[in-house]
Amino acid sequence: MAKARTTKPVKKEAPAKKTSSTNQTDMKTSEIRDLIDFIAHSGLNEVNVETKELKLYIKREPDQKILKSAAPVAAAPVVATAPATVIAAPAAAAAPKTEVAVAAGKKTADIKSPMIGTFYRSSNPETPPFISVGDKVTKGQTVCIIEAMKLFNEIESEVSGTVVKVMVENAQPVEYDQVLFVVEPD
Amino acid sequence: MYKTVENTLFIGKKIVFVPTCTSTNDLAIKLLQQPAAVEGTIVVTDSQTAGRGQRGNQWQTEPGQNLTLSIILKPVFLAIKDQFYLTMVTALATYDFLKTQSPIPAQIKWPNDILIGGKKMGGILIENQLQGDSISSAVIGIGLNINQKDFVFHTATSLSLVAQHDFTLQEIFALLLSHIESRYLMLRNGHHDTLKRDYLQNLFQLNESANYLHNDQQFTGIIRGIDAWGKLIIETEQGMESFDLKEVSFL
Repeated sequence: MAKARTTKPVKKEAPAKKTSSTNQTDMKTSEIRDLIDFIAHSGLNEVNVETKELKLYIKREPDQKILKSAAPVAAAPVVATAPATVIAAPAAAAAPKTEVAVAAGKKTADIKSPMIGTFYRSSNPETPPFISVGDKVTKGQTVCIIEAMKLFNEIESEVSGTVVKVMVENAQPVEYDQVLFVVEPD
Repeated sequence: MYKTVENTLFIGKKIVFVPTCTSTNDLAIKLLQQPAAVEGTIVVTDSQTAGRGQRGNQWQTEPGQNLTLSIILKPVFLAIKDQFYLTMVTALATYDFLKTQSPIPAQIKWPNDILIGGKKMGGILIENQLQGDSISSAVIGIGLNINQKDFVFHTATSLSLVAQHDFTLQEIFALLLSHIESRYLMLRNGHHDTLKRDYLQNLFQLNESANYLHNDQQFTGIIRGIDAWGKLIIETEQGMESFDLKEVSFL
């Protein structure tokens, strides 16, 4: 399970102020594209970028790259939402396998346990987890199994969105109403 | 090979037979995606290549000798906390069916093994699909050793070994399903107390002093019942204690 990872925070200055807001957006788009290109060629596995307006977290899996951006750090709401809307397109263009989740100014939803039992992230030990951080989840999709007294319960997501957090370790006991996953709704 | 069941209301009216599959439960769960997967649909096979017992434990049978099937039910009326009744329904129906065929009465080993003469002849694997606060569907997997004669483990047996003759799978398939429907209808009609009483009445080692294992420690106790979640209640020197599946094993 333990993967060797290099984490290196990249300091980045906030872009110079432009008179036109369009220019500002364009510049951010190209900056982000450049940044992704840079990381793609850098050999780094995890990169954190923080500017005044946005916070970017980029993580590379063995054969894919998951890219997500967390909520902005106490930035003015108007500025905060601007970069968020422009991230998706250039990211997809620069790296087709990259998944993007944008959290700026958005609320999250919890997927909770409807019962007491043991939490399993996959249908059996040999198969990959139903969902992982960065994955898209659709309403009605199975997200985990909770077992109690040899009854195996597939739990369905009641929201569509992107998984931002897995709250419970595999094979751990869970209580009624305990939060299992945090999802950012579409 | 398996024909639709005639003496039932809704179980066994639609049958999906596959000569071989990984597990009938897996196939039934896939079928649930389709609107045609009506309540009572059966998936049955001659040979499971990856049959499952309890999570990860393999359930091995000889091809064409035994009953290996899954039933699709839609127990939307059942509260999630009452789901152990699905185990009781299935185990009891199997017990009822065996009562008509076996010279020795079967017993239910908590929570869902079927024993004859103290040896395991069948098992149940139930997989529910939960939607919000209700059970939108349940896949009831049943594996019963019927005509198989040789077993790797001496703790296993089959109906033919006990009854000393072979059985026609199609006949007992229909019979088993009609018993499942009867017990399931009892649940749907709210006869929880009867189901629980009958389950306990046929529970292996109920009210008998026996040895169990908890946290690698052996202890002597007496099974007294089950709680609302289906946990096993054992009377020990410390008094009444309830045990989860992982907290106790039979010795």
